[in-house]
Amino acid sequence: MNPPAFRLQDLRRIYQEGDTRRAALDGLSLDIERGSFVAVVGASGSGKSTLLAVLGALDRGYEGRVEVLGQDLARLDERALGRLRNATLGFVFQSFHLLPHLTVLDNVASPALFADEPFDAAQAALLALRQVGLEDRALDRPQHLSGGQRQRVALARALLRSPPILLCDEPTGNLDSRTGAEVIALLERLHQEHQRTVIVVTHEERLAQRAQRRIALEDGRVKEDSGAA
Amino acid sequence: MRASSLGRLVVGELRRSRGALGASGFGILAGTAALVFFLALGLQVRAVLLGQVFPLDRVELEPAAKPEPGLLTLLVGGGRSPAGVKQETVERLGRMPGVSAVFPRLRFAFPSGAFGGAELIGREIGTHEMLAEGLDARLIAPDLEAGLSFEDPLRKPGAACKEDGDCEKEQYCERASGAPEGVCSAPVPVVVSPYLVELFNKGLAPAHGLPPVGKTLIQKARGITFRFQLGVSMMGKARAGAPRSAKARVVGISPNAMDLGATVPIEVVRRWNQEFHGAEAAGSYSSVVLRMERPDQVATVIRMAEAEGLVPRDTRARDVSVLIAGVIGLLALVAGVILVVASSTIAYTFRVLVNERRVEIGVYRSLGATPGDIGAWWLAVAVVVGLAGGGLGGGVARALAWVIDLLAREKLPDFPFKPATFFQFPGWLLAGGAAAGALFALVGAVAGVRQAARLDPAKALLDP
Repeated sequence: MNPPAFRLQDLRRIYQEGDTRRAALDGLSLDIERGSFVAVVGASGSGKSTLLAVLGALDRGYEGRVEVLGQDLARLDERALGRLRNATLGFVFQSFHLLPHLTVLDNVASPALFADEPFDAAQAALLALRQVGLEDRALDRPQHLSGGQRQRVALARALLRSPPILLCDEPTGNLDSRTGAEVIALLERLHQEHQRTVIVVTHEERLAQRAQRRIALEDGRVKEDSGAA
Repeated sequence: MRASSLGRLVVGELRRSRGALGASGFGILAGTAALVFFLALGLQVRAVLLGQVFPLDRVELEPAAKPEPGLLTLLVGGGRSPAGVKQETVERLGRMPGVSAVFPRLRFAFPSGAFGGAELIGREIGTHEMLAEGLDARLIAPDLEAGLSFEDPLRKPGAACKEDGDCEKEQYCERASGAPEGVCSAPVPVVVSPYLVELFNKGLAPAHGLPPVGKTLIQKARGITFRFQLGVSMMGKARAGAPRSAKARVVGISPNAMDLGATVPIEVVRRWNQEFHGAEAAGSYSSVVLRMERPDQVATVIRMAEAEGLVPRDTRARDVSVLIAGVIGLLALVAGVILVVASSTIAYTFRVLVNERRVEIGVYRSLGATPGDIGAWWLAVAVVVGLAGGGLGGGVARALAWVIDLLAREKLPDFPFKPATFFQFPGWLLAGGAAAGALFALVGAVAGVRQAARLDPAKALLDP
């Protein structure tokens, strides 16, 4: 039996703020199956973004156990973690985080910089842009695109290495409702077509309702989990 | 991260931040230019001083850190071996590239005195303490008037004898202590230094009411004679042999003669050292004079001879060289201060740039970059800035030197030893300048690089 996309056991993330310790994540234990579309919801400060950082191997300061596709993150060195982020995980951020000095094509191709083996990054980038319908804007700068287009470019960048897992932090948070709906539809399509695991951190109820599973966090704990056994 | 990826990141950063990095690199350029310029000046000045001004085409070397035997040592302690340069060392020195001839020197290893001068100044004068040394005849011959010789008189020994009366007029009986008989010998030829003549004329002669002995007077006298008192002096006797005397004749004045004392053929000293001090005093030399093929080879030969444990005996060149090195060192220090300031500018620039690139660094981390990849990226930027600044600095130094040489050729009057160029730019200096530029840039950038490598991507991306 294949291991789940993510397995969390008693996950804690404590921040030391002066003399006080604040638990951003406080004993989370859950599995996220492969190919599932999961929405993580909760109020500001509930621990959503912290959870995404831990799942994305960006934050190693946690306690407990986190497995990604059966690999214990604590046992991986920086190089292995980098390889994991490069080929297995795709990130989409609320603020897009496109690099303004690069063209759309170069932005989408940028994961190739950190790939172990060289490949035709431009070709792969064009393919990824085609998937999000922005092939014709390849040579534009991100600042000349609309918000929705920028988020689609960010999605194309996340898709460059065809990762099995997409991690999205408020992907519609900076978009109006129409373009937000477009992005939600795109995420659904990416999930369905390739059986990707998509985890979306969101405030937006409309997006959360489209997910197969809804995990609500409060004060770093699971308040509600629609997929709980 | 692959090298091609690193190259793309570095080129991209250099393009985007050319203003800020250019300003930082300019400091490195200025500092390196000053450093290379002053060092090139120092190298050439030192080469001219060591190669031309002081030793001309020769240098005298002696064993390092061995004090010369003073009178007290000679007399109270019986003297110590006056030489430390073995024959095999002399031969090795002779084979060094650039050395055309080697002339060993050998000092008296026993007490001696000298008395005479009646022919020249009308009455007998002398000293109970006499310093003397032996020198190769080839080194003295060019300074002698025609018809005068500086060869060991026993090369042409006379008849056997027991005392001076057995020999012809002007000869004396050279009979070693304890030997049943000796051979008749011409007087031992002696040369003195112009310095000693000057000292006698300006100091001793007026004090004792004696006439000055000019070179002309010595030439007219055609060889003033005196007697060496061997094996004994005012302060004691030699460790071996019985005191005796030997007849000597001053045959000339030579700048190669020892400053304060008498210089005789080296074979004579070897013989007498063996008689009055034993075989060890005759087996090695006090110092060696090296003649070069070209004056500019002196500095190189001195460096090579240091490996043999020999240093220049005449320290004037070395002292001036040290002085020059000190001055150049101070100027280089100024250049170093410029580099330190440049380094701190780079530190500031890198901190600002890394702060500006927080999100970008975070994005790259999310795309697979390790902290090491990020560090390598910024380190490479620093190295490129440093190498470029350092390399250009070397070029600026060369250009400046060219202008100064041009001005010197046209504006400065000729003076002795005026060089064709005042600067030396060996390849290692230019390469070292570029390396120094890279080093100072790295040192400046290191805090920024650490900051970049340690940046928390989660904070940069999810909590902006």
